[in-house]
Amino acid sequence: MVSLTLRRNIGSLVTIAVLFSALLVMPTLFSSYWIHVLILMFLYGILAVSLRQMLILGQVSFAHPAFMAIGAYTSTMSVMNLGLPFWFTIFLAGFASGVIALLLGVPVLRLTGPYFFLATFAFLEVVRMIFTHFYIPFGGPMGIYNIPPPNPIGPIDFSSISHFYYLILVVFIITLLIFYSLERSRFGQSWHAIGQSHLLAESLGINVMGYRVLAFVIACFFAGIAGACYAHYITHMSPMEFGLVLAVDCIVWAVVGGISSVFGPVVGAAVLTFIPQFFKFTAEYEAGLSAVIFMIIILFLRGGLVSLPQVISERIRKQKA
Amino acid sequence: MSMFLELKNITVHYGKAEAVRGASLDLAEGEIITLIGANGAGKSTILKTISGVKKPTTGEIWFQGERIDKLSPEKIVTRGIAHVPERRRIFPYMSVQDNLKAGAYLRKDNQIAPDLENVFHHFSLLKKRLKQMAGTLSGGEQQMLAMARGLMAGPSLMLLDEPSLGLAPLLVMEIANIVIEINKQGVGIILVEQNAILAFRLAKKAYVLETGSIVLEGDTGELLNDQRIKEKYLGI
Amino acid sequence: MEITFLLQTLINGIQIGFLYVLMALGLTLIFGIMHMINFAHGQLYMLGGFFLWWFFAIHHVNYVLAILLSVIIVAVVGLIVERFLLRPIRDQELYVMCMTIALGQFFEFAARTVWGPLDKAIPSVLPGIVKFAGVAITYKRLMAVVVGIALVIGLYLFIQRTKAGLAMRAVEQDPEVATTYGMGINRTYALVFSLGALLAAASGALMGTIMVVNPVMGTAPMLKSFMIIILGGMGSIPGAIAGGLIVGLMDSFFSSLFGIDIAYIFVFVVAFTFIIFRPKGLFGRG
Repeated sequence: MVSLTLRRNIGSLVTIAVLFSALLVMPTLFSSYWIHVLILMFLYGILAVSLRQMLILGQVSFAHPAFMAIGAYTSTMSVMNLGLPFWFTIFLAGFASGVIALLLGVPVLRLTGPYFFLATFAFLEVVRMIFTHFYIPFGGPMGIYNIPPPNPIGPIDFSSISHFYYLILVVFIITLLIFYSLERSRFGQSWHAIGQSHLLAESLGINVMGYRVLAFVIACFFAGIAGACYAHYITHMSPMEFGLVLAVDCIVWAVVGGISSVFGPVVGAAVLTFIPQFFKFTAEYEAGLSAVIFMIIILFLRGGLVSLPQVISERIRKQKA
Repeated sequence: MSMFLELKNITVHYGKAEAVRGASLDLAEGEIITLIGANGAGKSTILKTISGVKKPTTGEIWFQGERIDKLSPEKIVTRGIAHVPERRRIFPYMSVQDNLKAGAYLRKDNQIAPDLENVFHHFSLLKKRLKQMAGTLSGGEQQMLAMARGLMAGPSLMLLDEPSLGLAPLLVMEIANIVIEINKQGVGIILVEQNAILAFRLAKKAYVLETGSIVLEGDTGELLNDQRIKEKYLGI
Repeated sequence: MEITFLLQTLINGIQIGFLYVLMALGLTLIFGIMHMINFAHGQLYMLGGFFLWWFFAIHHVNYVLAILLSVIIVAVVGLIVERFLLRPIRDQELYVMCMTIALGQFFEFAARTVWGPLDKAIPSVLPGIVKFAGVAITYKRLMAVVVGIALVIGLYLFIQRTKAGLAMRAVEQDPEVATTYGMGINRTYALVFSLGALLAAASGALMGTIMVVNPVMGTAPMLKSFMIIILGGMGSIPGAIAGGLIVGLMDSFFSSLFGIDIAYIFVFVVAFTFIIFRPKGLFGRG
């Protein structure tokens, strides 16, 4: 028995080590185009993993892109108008998103199910409209251009895409580590308990509202960070990008990947970002394809792609029996 | 001899939790029997299993020579079994009239109008309140509506789940009399009650449930003298 | 001058309002009885418009017949969707919502692929304007209002006077008891969903007649409809009617006075306020 667990742990460690090494050397192997895709994938992964924190609680938030936008605009405007360095504004971005999440969360997280969802939906649209309507601070529907890259650290001056790659890879890995440890901590247990039955959790003495707010603030914090990275990488952004489509995408990545594991949403984001790349010639079919994939997963593989190995091994076991 | 209704060794689960175990009972045509027991003993579960809302994990239910435990609730209603649920559960935002129509929803025969008259005969106050929203009726009136709704299904067997719950004694008497009248018209009745005194007055045969199992059964006349029953359920 | 402006805005608002009402009615029925948010509602609306265009503009089918065919086809689509895509996952709120999201995306993609992304105009049906008291309303818009009213009345009669409507009400108020009296959930849900689809399609067809049809036309009205049912009370029919008209009027007045952007934000701000302070909405029943 012990050796089985040990074997599994070693197996996971090896897989992680291999993946990590592979990710490290990507820029040397692949063209900028693919590195760009990978960068997007990491950013989407951060969004998806942080959103998962709310999905675990049974609260579907449609406001994630709004918080990404808040982070993006905060960092961008702090850098461009206040002259602050990126390395500070990235945290400022997360902080701004977190604070607004706190303000929004306290009244709204009391609500459950569809009411919470629609409240976050309303928030998404209002935020988007605010950024769209006001030209003066926010640049209006055109957004902001010529966003400067992060300030150089030593030789890393962000003149080449691989610098961005490593930066966002680091952010991505740190995010994953944080959510992974949260998941296995007492917080994770409480969140899962609340997700199963918030009434039961409450009767067990768990401060449901407190945990909900905490999860929401953390999730939106990382959305803000992702937003900041996005803005300084792509160097231009407009409010349109932080709307309904992205909100749906975040949910799709999380659910298709599987919300039972922290890595699920990452898998979902990866698969749904990469697969269309291979069907580049049918770029128009991308939307339809991901919709169909989504439907198939919901109907037949409820646990998402991460649950695939488990489902397959159970099938095999049933065949043998 | 096949009984009107027969439960053979019914076991029912809610998820993994066992609510009823190995319950067997039978009812002759036109008979009134009662299931008594404390809260949570499984009485309501048995009724729900008969009406088809819950399916038994194991065991069989036979009604008029047909096995019904695998049938859908819709089919069971057409076989002639009406369920008057615990806590009345009339449709609150519908009129009294619509509630009665709901009872007769599946009926395709032409006896609905005479049955409605019969219902008004039993429950005269409902006739006066036909257009009133059912949710605004008092507890006793709602209980009568729930029973009337059940009657509108034209049943040969009615399942009454705690009709006396929360009602003043005078109303309980009124309802008890109505139950007797309905039974006189040939409708069999399974009465689930916590109020054992009422139950024993109305029923000929009783089954006593404790934590999901039938621990005692027999003629109510005899059970009245049983020491255990007297202590536990009759408060004597 | 002032009064005519007011009246004109009022008339426009009522007309837009009725189209919102139709859509909100479908949404509220689906939410109230099936307890789900139909995220594909906007696309069902869009499909109603597109089918009308296809039948009427392309194949020159008689206008009335074209509308009937369009709404019936979309209703059938709703039936199929409910039976095969929603029923298997009925118990899980999250996945039902995800499924309708996916469906919406798919319908939009399908429409764009089959018919192209550009606006399609529906040829003139009832040309001309009627004028009174200094305000003008095109016959098309007037027709939309008339049809809207007719559908609302029809829906009311259906729900209150037919057996199917009785079953819908029973299942909404107490599904378990409804089942024991034969008003089955399966059949009721199928009816409700296709009815909702029908109403959305009708709204889309009417809107298409007045303006244009394009694959993305469903998103904004659907978002507004969500806010409408919050305002009116999720699951409430009078709420959907009141909410739709109110939002229609708000749209009309705010657009004229402050511009479309502000009008849009305002609806969401109002809805948001309601969600926090009065989630039941105006007419909702706890």
